[in-house]
Amino acid sequence: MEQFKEKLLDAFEVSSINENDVIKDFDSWDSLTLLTVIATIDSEFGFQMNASDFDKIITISDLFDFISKNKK
Amino acid sequence: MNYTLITGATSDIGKQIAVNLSSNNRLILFGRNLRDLKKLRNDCENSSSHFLFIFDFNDISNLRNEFVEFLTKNSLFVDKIVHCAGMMKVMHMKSVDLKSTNQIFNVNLFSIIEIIAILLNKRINSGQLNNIVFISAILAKYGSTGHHLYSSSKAALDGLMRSLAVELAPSIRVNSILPGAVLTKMSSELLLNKAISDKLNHDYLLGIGSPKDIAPMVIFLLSDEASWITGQEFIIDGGRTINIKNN
Repeated sequence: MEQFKEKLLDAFEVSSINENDVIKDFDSWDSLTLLTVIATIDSEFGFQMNASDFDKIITISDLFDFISKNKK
Repeated sequence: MNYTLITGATSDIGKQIAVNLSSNNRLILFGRNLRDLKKLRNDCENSSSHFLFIFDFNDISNLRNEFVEFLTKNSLFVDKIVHCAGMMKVMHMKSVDLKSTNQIFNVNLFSIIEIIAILLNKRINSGQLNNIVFISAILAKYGSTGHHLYSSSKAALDGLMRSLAVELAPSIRVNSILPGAVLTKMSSELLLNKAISDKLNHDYLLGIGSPKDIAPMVIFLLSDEASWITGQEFIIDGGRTINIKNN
C-alpha cells in the first residue's frame, strides 16, 4: 500500500494525501488521471476496476477500502 | 494433424474469429481462463476437435517450454496463426512504470515472437506453418492521449509483420488487420457515457464496429483467395481514419 500511495502522489501531483481528501477535488483530476489510477491499481493489486466504480468512491479512504475488498 | 492457433481466443474479437473458423478448421484456443475457454469451445462447431492451451501472457518466461511440451504431447502441428491477444492500459505518460510496459509488450508482442519462433522450428512443427494474421489497431498508425504503450506495441507488431513477410515468403504469408473501435465488453461501458458515445458516432462514419466486422477479413486472409497478399496492413474502422474533419 505504501508504494501505491507514492504512485497516487505522482498521479495527483501533490506532496501529501489524507484519507478524507475528496478525489474529484484534486486539481489534476481528469478522465486520464482516472484511467491512470485504474491502470496503477491493476499493476499493484492485480484486478481491473471499471470507471463506473468511481461513482461510489468519494474519498481516498473509500478508494483504499475498495482495494482491500478486491485485491488478489 | 494441422491446427489453427488463436491467441487471445476469449477476447471479443478472438471469440468471433474462433466461432467463424470452427466449422472448417481444427483450433488451438489460447487464453488465460479455463472456464472462458471451455465455454468458447462449446460455442464452436465440432467442439470435440479443438484443443485448449491455458497460459497468461503477462509472464512469458515459461511459454516456450510449456507450449513445446503441449504440442509434442498431443502430436499437434500448427499451419495458421491468428494473434488476437491484446492488452491496453490508458494512463499519463509520467505514471508509466516498467511493470506496465513489460505487461503490455509481453501480451501484445513478445508472446507472439516466442510462439512464431517455436513454430518455425522444423523439428517441432515440421515446416507446416503457412499463414499468420495479427490483430493490430489503428492506434499503431495514429496517436491518442494516454495510449503510448498500446500504440507503440501495436506499431512494433506491424513492423514484425513486414519483416516476417519478407523473410518467410513464399511459403508463409503474414498480414495485419488494424481495427478501429469495436464494441466489446470493455468498450460497452464507455459507450454508456453519452458524451463519449456521441463523439464516437460522429467520428465513425459507419458507426462503431462489432467483432463480426473484423472476423470475415481474418477468414479471407487465411484463405487461398488471398494467396497473392502478404506484408500488408488492412484498416477496418468504419471510416474513422479518413474522416479528416475529426482528426
